[in-house]
Amino acid sequence: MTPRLSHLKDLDYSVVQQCMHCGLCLPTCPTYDATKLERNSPRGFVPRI
Amino acid sequence: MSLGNDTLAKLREIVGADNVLTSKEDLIPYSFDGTAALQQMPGAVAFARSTEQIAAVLKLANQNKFPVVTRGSGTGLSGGSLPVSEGLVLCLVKMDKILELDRANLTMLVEAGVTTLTISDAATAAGLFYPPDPGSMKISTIGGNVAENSGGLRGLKYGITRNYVMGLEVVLPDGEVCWMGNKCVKDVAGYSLRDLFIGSEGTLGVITKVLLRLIPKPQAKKTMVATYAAMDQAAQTVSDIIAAQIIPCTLEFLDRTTIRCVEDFAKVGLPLDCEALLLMETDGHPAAVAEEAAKMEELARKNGAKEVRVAQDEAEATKLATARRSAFSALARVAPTTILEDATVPRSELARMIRFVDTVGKKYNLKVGTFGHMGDGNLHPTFLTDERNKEEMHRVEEAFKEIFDEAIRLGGTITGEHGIGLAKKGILPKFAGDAQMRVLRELRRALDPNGILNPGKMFD
Repeated sequence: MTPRLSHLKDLDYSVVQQCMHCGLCLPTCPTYDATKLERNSPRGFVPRI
Repeated sequence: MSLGNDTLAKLREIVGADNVLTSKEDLIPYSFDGTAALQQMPGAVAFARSTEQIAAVLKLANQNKFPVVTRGSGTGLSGGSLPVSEGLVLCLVKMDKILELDRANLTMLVEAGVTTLTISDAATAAGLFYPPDPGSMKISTIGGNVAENSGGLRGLKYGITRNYVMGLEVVLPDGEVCWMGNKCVKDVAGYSLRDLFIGSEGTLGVITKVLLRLIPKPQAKKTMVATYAAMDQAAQTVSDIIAAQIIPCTLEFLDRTTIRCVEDFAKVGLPLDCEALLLMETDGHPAAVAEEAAKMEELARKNGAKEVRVAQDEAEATKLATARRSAFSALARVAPTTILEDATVPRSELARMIRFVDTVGKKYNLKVGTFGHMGDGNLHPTFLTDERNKEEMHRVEEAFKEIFDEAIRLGGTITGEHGIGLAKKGILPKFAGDAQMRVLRELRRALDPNGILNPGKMFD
């Protein structure tokens, strides 16, 4: 896990900003489909970073 | 104004404790929709499962005076489903059942949370056709489509969401349930309230059920792509096609910037050395389709198309259509913030408007890609920017002001299919004029005297 965490720290913030929260990740997301909760989708996860 | 423990307890009673979200992590994803640079934290999210629950929630909202914003999948592009700060988000995605498919009357009755794609697929499976296809149709809900009166790629020939709504079940702001419309093709009893609620952006009631009109499925379809060295040639092709009395189901264009982004993203094999690309589709009876396709190809060549590629099979057709459908996502990859607009002009003014957008982009030194529905004059100038750069964002705002002024000057509108919401609230009064604004305000006050539903949206 450690290398991945440091990668997250080094990540340019603009990469996270690339998510324009259009919602097109939702129809293909199995955890969103199962729970219907946005926190379990990519769009729900990205803004929490 | 926060919701308070009493309100939250009652909400849990109404929809069940599992269907009320209040933790910050749970709420963050509901603090925005598909609109760039707009965010507001709600106080709670409640998932309703029935019309009765929604009626109870709205009665409670009137009692305890808290704002309610109805939301489907949150893919809107005008901030219509953005929460009111500390208010309640009423989410309908769990009301996702198709209730009836009536083959004798060609109608489908669905709950508001059913996705557009599910409806389209169910219609297709029955050998029927539901034409409206907004860009987000894979996840957008029909309730949201009706509330925003969404368009799509087939508007020119088949019209928009409004043209397929025969009836609505709506919970009025005071909690009373009201049915408007029916399965009759002809029905002139009283005001057409159904039409008032279509495009009301969640300000007049909560749409809970929708009765949709379906049509026979076109037997054949032909898809082609033409590329041009100049945008004017593409625009002239469109004019000539209409003048030849052909109404294709799709006439979409991409400009140079968009073509490059799409090719980089989707690798469809689009030529990169052209200024404009036209995606054309005609559908209907096989004989008519063959004739129209041949004529469209001929007109494209006559207007100087560098290349006309006719899809040989369904797979190739889908691939070409995907190029257009992925335009928004493809552009969004290029810059941190993508601001998509939908200024719309009469078809005849389209080439002039596209040139104007280009000029304005240069004037303010902004990166802009334009694509959209050439057949119906609905264009999507898309600014590629960065919301952290305040100075550039200011230039984007100035550019948009000029674009909307020009659209109005050419007899167009400030929004063709995205709605007013929060994003265009500021320019609605100028566009609509005093008389219209007065009627809009009086209607809203009559239905929602306490200002419970989606306050602060569309107009004050």
